Parts: sequence; structure tokens; C-alpha cells
Amino acid sequence: MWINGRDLDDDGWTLTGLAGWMAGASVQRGVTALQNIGGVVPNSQYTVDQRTMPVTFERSLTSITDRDAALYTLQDRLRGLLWVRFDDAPARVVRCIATPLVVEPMAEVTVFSVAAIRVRCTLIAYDGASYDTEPQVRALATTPVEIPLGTLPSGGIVTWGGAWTATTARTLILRDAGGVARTTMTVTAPSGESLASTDFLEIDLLRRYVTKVTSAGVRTNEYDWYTSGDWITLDPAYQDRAATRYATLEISAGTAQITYRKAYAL
Amino acid sequence: MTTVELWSDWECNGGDALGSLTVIGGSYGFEVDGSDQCDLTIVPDTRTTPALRDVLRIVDGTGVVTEYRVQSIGRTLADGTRTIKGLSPLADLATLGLVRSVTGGVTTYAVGGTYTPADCVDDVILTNLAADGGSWLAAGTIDPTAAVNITAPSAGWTRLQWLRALEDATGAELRLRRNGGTSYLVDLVDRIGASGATVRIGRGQNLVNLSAAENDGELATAITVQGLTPEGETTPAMIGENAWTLGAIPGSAPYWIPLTDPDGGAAPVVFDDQFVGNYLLTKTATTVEITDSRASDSAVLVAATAGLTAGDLVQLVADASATRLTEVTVPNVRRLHRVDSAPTLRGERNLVLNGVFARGASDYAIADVTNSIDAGRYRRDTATTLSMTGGTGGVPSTNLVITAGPANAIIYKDEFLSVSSGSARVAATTQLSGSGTGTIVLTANATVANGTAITLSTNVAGGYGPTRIAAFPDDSQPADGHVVKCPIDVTTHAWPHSTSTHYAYAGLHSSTYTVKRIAGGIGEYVYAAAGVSVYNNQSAAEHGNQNGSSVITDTVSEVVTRRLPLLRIDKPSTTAILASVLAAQRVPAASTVHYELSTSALLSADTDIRVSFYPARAAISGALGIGTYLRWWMLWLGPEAVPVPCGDRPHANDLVARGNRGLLARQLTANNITVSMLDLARLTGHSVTRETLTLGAEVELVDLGVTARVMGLQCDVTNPQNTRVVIDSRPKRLVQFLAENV
Repeated sequence: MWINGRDLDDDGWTLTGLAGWMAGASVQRGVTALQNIGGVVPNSQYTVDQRTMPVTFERSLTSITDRDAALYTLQDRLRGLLWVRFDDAPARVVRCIATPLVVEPMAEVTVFSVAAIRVRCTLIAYDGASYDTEPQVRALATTPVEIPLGTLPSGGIVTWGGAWTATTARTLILRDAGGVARTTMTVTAPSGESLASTDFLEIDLLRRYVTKVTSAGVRTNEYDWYTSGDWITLDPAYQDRAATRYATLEISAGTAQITYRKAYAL
Repeated sequence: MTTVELWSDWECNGGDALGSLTVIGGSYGFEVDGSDQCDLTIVPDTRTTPALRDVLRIVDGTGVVTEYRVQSIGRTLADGTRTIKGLSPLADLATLGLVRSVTGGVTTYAVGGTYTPADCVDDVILTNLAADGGSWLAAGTIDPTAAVNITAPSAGWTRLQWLRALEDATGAELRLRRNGGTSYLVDLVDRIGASGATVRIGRGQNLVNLSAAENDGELATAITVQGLTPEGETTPAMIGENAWTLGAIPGSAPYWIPLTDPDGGAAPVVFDDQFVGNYLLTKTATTVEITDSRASDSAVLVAATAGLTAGDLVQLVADASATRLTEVTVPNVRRLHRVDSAPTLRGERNLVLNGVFARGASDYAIADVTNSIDAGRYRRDTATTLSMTGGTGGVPSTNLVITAGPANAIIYKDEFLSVSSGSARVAATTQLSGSGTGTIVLTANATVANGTAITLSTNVAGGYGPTRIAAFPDDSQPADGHVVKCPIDVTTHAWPHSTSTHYAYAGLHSSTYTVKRIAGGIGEYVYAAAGVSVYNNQSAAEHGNQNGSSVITDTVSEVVTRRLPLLRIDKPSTTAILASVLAAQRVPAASTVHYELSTSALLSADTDIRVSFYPARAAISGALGIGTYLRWWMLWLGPEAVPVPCGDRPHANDLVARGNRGLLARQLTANNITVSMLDLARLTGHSVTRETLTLGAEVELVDLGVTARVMGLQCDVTNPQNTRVVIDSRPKRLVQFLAENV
């Protein structure tokens, strides 16, 4: 088990218990029952439950001091937002947090023993998805560029450069596998504002930020550059994996790339 | 999917998009009464931090944009969320500032007068917008057209208070309509959502749950409307002094005669059999019983038409003795009486016709006035200078031929023109043609070469100076309203003015009205008032009444020679003077004095009355450069203290209309219905007209057999299908049924 890029074995801990890892997150869609007709009317949106993964760690010990050091180390490893990868799926990571550790006695003996220690906790993945370990980077062009996705929608960050003069509009178009434009997002430099060739616009499709980043690294909120159209969601519903045909993105001008991770329900 | 963005201000007011908000719950809504608001719970984000007075911009799945001003922000420490409450743009109209007028450097908030609703919005409410940061507002659709009288209190009103008062007075409904990113338009419409489709709600379709409760809480079958209580009085205005125009009178029975509002407002009969058993009081103090009535054409049935003339004004009274009405009722139902308070609405009636001189056969003729002095109507915004070209052909003549002058300009009797031979006095009021030509008759020959430049004389020293006033008091009249410019009164008028000889002096005389006197009550006193302005163009001499020593005095009891204007109440049938009041304050040199004259007379029986007016006379020195303007006049039966002027409109008609609107609206029981339903239009993600709920439009509750109105819509931000509809089978505001039935 790898936590934030570090093998847990290197700290002397062994993963001895794991559940829920291969159970997909529950996807729910609300429904409403209407009187006097059969069936229900589903809501137009669905939600994904969190995924919970109870884990158990064990470690051999040599002393009480060793035990304390081992526990401190484990707590350090499990602090904050975790990127967790398991050995049987090395290309996938799960974003999760860990619940507080619970230490269990290992032997039913009357004599106090420090030979080993077993610790349990639960990893909670609130977005229910797992992701590719390696992000995808695609250079965008004025012709459609394929964006292969997993089985769940992905966010992504578009960095868009190239000298951009005031009042000039550019579009980012998402097309489905059939080439039909699904979403067009228009970004326009307001009057009096522009982008030098060494600057770029960073568009976070998930968090819906539009940030100007200068060559000196100065970041400013430029949300008002987004002028029309819907925010683009990279949705696997637009691709046909079996036919290896994928949704595409294209820009109308400038140079851009998108960085994203494929997301999976399992 | 609904998205929520944070903006710095309304898009139409130059607002900038600041960022997207992560909303985890909440709703936004629309209400017929304009109290739209949103209530959102968001996950805070340091990049996009809402602040008070920012704008929330909500875009639903169909692309409709709704904006709210952030009014409050709450924080919950336990989960780190923020709750934001926003109000609709209409709320801004309460905080932009007070409606005001600035004249001569003085700001006044007690703005008011008689306006059409469109003029009220354009000329009163939507003024000073740039100064108050309200340039994003503009007038939209204004349905009602009948003039109303509205006056703000001395403390002033906000624009929202003015619009609410206009709503009350007209029975229309107020709504602010988003005009894309350009502006918000102020709509005052007969009915919000009138064009919306009627959506069917029922089991087996889209109904989730419905509950209904009925009560008589707001039923009414008789309403007393209490209006303005004039300062110093204790009794509020009521519907008694109403007046309606008689329609065509049939030549034979049955004598159905329509009654209409003289200003095009709501007619009085809104139920069949309403006012049956009441009477019509005519201008000759006769009463005619109403034996039947019908709402379709607001007509009453009378047994005979004696004393009734089409076009005359008649008053609805309770009985043959002319007891005044105090309530409007629904006929033939159980009595359930309510009181409606309308403290801004007046109730008095001006018994003289054309009290503010709005009407005339021509631009200077005065309708309904006996004018034996050749006075002429004068627009308040008339230029005080004249520039013309003309002549008498170079020979002595009293005919001054104008070849080039202002189109349709009026030159008044006793004005002095500066011509090459000096000052020429105008003998009769004359209007130039649309091309600025005409002939002005002079009192004496003048020799003027053709093509001479002609202006108003400025020969003040000789007493022939200009008599045109540049500005008049507001008088709650529009800037292009009229006053009457009078010539100089050259008759020797002794004082006091009380004999039959004085009665016969030439002056201005109003229409005649016969008061039906009720002993100890209405008609025992009659009151008259007039607004008068006098301009003295003498450079050094005052102008005023004289005592026995021919010295100017301001004390009326000392006056033996009248030189200032006079207002009288006459009894034409006996050529008697019932009361008179003389302007007393002298007019300083080169000055204007504005007067309000008032008097009253005690009547002992039914009496025919009229008001008469006499302008200022020549100065002691004989100078004729004295200009007299009669701005308005009125004759009324009480109370003694009323806001002046009351104009031409029978104000009690507004109270009658309000009462009738209330009766129409309150026939139905209060039926509070709560409906949970699926908004099927949003279910599909695009609009379906027959399923689209529209604020103010109707819904048909199939299972109840009731058609009700959508009074409010609450939309769930995170679940667009979860729309809560607030509907009511009775209008929330009592005036909402007006446009359909009155």
C-alpha cells in the first residue's frame, strides 16, 4: 500500500486487512412517486456516495519505545488528504482521509506483550472515485483532440496561452465521440485587459476558477473573462470506449493544454 | 443545472463576475408582491468570498438569469458553511434615495400632483437616477392610463414607496423585469403573468401533494374606504363627493344611462344591482332615484330623465336628501363590512369645471368659463420673450401684420409690443398660425414699416413694460400645464365689493353649480379658493390697494380702492355676492407675489353658486405693466381645510374604485393552498410551454376544481425539479382582479 507516494512497508507496517477497495461507490438517483400512476419519476441528477475502506495494519515491535515511534510514524503518514495506491492496482489512486487510529491487542494472554501491534482505521474516499496515478496531458489545437476518460466524469485544468488582445473572444468546445458539439465555453479578454505571450490563463473546470498567471508567477482572479456558455464537464457519457472513440476538445485560437486524471467508479 | 456566480453589482450596472460559488443547498424564489429572495448555503472559498451588497447571479438549466443583492451572510462554525440571503433588485429602490425636486437650490421631498401613471414613473419616480446610482432603471410597460393624484408626505418617499402608492392608486401590479444585461424595467401591469399558460396540476400528472384550507378571514361584502385626513381635520376623506359623467340618454324608456369616470378611470357600477335605491344628485340640486343597475356597461336605470343631460357630472348619493355615501356594497348578499385605509387618497371634489384650465377650444380659449375680459390660457413654461417681424405697411394702422414669429405663439390682450413708433398695446388676445404669421390688433394706430423687428416692450418707465412671469409655484401641476393670463382691469372698483353694481363688473366667471343644502351638514357652507400671481414691472413703485388717502395699504379694512385681485362667490340667480376675498399684500417694485385666496359663504337653502375672479387694476401712476395670472380656482363643500388645489378630478372616484376593487377581490373565501409538485418543464431540462409555471399566471387544480393563481415560486438550487408553488384562489393583494372586471 502506497500512501502519498511512500510504501508503507518502508516504515515497517504491513497491510493485513482491507475491505471495500473493489466495491464501487454507490451511485444514487433520487426519485419522486406521483399519485395514481405507476412507477416513479427520476431526478435529472445523480449523486455518488462516499466509499469507505476499513484497513488494518500490523507491525512487529521490539520495545515500548519502538511501539510509540511506530505509531507516531503511522499517524504522520495518515494525516490530511491522502493519495492511496494498492499493490494490486498500481495505476490507480484513491483520494481519501483516514479516521483516527484504533489500536487492538494482538494476543489473548495475561502477560503484557509488545511483540507486535495491530491498528485499524477507515479510509474514506468522499468523492467515491479512483483515479489514474499518472495525469493525462493533452495539447489542444484548433482541431479536435481526443480526451479519453474513465468511467466517471473528470475535472481538468486548461492552461491557455498565446498573446490575447483585449475584447478578443476564444472558445473551448467539447464534442462527443460522434463529433457533435456538446458544450461551448467562451472566454473573452475584457476591454483594457490582455494576455502577453508569456502569460497564460488557467481554467479549472472542476472548481470553476479562471486565473491569470503571469510569467512572474503572479496569479489573479479573472473570472470575468468567462463570458458565455456552460462550464465544460468531461463526461464519459460522450465517449464509446468499446469502439475506442472518445470525446474531444478544441480551441479556437492560441496554445493550450489540458491536464486531467481519468476517474473510475471501481 | 443551476449555477450560482458572485458578481460585484448588477450586470446592467457594470458589475463584474467575481467567481463561481459552490452551493450545497438552498432556494431562490419569485413572489407576485415583489418580495423575491434567495437563501443559499455555500462552501466558502477564499478565492470567491461574498460580501454584503455583492450580487448573486443564478442561471437555471434553461438559461434564465436571476439576480439578487446579498443582504446577509451567516457562518456556521461547526461545518464551515456560509448562508447567504439575497433580495431582488426591487429592494434597491428603497435604498437609492428619496424622490425629490430641486427648485432654486432648495430640495423638496413633498412631491405630488395629478399624473398619468406613465408620467408619474417618468417625471417623478425615475428622476435623479444618475445621482443616486440608479441609471440601470428604466420605465417598462405601464398599463393603466387614467390620471391619479398622489402626493408624498413632507418627509418624502423612496422610489419603492412611490411605486407602491402608484400600485394602490391604479390597482395595477408592480414588477421589475430584467432587460438582459442592459437594464431593469419598471413594469406596472394590469396583471403579472397575464400571458402565462395555465398549467394543470393533478393526480396522475405532476401532483405530489396538496392541502387546502378555507376561511372567511378576508371576505367582504361592504367596504368603507377611508382616505386622507386633511391637516387640522379629524374626519378622513370618503367616497361621498364622487362625480361621474352621464352617458347617452335614451329617448324612450327604459332609461339606461351609463356612468363613466370623467378622467377615464374605473366606472362605478361593478355588480349588477349595485346602488339600486340610491340616487343621482345633479348640478341643479335635483335627485333622481336609481331603480336598477348593471355592471356590463356601468349603467343605471332611472324612471325619468328630467334634469339629466348627457355629458353632465352627477353624484351618487344615498337618498333623495343627498345624504352622502360612505361605503360600496355587494348587493343581495349577507353583510360583512370591512374598512380599507388609503391615507394618501383625497376625497374632495371641485364643483367648478376646468379648475386648472386644462381645457379650451383653442390654446388660449378657456372652456366652461365666462370670459368677459379676454383673458387667455397661458402655458406655465411659456417663453417670456417674443421675437417677431412685421409691420403696418408703414402707415398708421391698428392692424399689425406679423410675417415671421414663433409658431402658434399667443400674444395677450394688454401686452405691450415694442415697435418703431414706441410701445403698442394689444387690443385682443391673438394666436399666430403654425407658420408664425397673423394679425395683431392694437388699441391705437401705430406706424411700422414692414419687416420691422418686434418684441415685447421693456418700457417700464412709461408703464408699458413686460407682464410675463418666468416661473410659477408648483401647484402640483405639470410644467406644461396652464394658468390664465388676465388683462389689466381698468374699471374703477370701490371697496367693499358688495353691491349689485359690483356684481356686474366684467371678470372671469366659472360654471354654475346648485348646492343641495343639508341643514347642519353638507352644503351649509361652501368654500372657494384660488391661486393667483401678480407681477409688478414698475422699477421703483409698489403696487397695492389704496386707503382713503390714496396711499397703499395692506390692511383690507382700510381699503377704499381695490387694485389687487379679487375672488368672489356669487349667486347668479339673484345677482348677489355671497362672499369675497381681496388680495391684501402689496407687490413690491419689479417683483412677483403669489397668493392663495380663500373665502366661504353660509347657505340657508339650496343655492346656485359660481366663483368670479377680477384681476389687478392699473397702478396708482396709471402704469399698465401689471400682470395677473389666475393659476387655479376651486369651489367645494368641505372640509374647510383641504390641500390645494384639488384640480379637476373628483378624487372620491379613486376611493370608490378602490372599494370596488376590494369587493371584487374579496368575494372569494381565503383559500390557502399548498402544493408540492414536480415542475415537469424542468424535468426535461428545457422549457415546455404548457407545463411551464409562470409567476402570476394561473394553475388549474384538477382535483379541487379550482383555478388559482401562482403567487410565488420557490426553486431548489441543487434540485431543479423540486419546485414549491405558492398559490391562492384569492389574490394576495386586494387589487389584483381589477383589470379584468373594472
